[in-house]
Amino acid sequence: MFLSPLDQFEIKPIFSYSDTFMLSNYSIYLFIIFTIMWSFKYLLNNGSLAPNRFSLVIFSIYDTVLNMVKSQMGNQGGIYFPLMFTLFNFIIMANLVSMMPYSFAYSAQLVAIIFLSMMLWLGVTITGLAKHGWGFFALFVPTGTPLPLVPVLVMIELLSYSSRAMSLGLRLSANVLSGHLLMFMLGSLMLNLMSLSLVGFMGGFMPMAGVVMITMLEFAMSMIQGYVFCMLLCGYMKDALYLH
Amino acid sequence: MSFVIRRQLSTLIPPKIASASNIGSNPNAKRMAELVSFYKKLPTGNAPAAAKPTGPIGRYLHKYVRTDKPSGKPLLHFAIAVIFFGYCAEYSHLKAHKDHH
Repeated sequence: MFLSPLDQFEIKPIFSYSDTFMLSNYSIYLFIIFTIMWSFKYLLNNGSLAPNRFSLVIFSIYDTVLNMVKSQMGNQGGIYFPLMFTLFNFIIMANLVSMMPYSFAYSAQLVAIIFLSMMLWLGVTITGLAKHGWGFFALFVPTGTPLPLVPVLVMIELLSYSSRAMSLGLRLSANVLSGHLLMFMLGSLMLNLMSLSLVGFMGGFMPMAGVVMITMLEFAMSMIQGYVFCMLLCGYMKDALYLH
Repeated sequence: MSFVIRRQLSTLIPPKIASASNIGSNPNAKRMAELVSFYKKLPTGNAPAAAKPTGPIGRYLHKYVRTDKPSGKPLLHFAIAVIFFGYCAEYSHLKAHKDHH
């Protein structure tokens, strides 16, 4: 029997009670991620006058997100800072928790992450419509377009704008999914080679080096993808707020 | 007009801060006495030690996070807990795979 590399992404029941109540690994890992975010409250060390090392980590995350929001949307974008901070932490924690052995990759669940990105896109669109009314549709006409080209360009821009809803989540999910698959396949290759013979054991060190490098890359990617997700969402929000 | 002149003069003449009659007068002395009594009532000596937390979370935080030298051990504990939970949750699945192999 061959263990499918996609097996690790399967949603399985962990606790169930008489077919009426069921806790899957999906909901448990979601709870774990929320618990980490909730623990920031305790790690901030509010009871003391001076911040400790944990607080400094949280402050640096705060500063990173604040700089991102300010550079994209200016000072007016400050009201969207809590949303970006929460999203950034959520994605980073989901990615980092999934890097632990035997863990579950929440952010590789395409349905959940694409649904999240679609809802965010919908929220951005509603914000733009509420702010500019019909003027929001000026976003689909680039400045300086010759009149005959306007219908074509509007169609292209509309397609590009709508595809953001999918691409935002797909980028994150596909990256995490491919990274975990690669780690699994290289790990299996290493295990199989090393358990074959002495020559295989020696040859198994090559995929082992690959596994180490891919793991390091995945850790970096876990953080970069969270940053990219929020950066793009800030860009979309800026488009909706300021149009061009 | 006289008002304007007085305004101009008032900028030149410093306000009456101290005078022979005010120094050591009764109202001032009373204020000082109140001040002394206030400070006398304040507790003296070393600050009392902070109350030890009783709950399990409080004790854990007191040991690793809310100390003078917080350590990175909570991260290690968290990683061990998640790996242990993941292994337990996957155990039957992994065992079934091993048996079939």
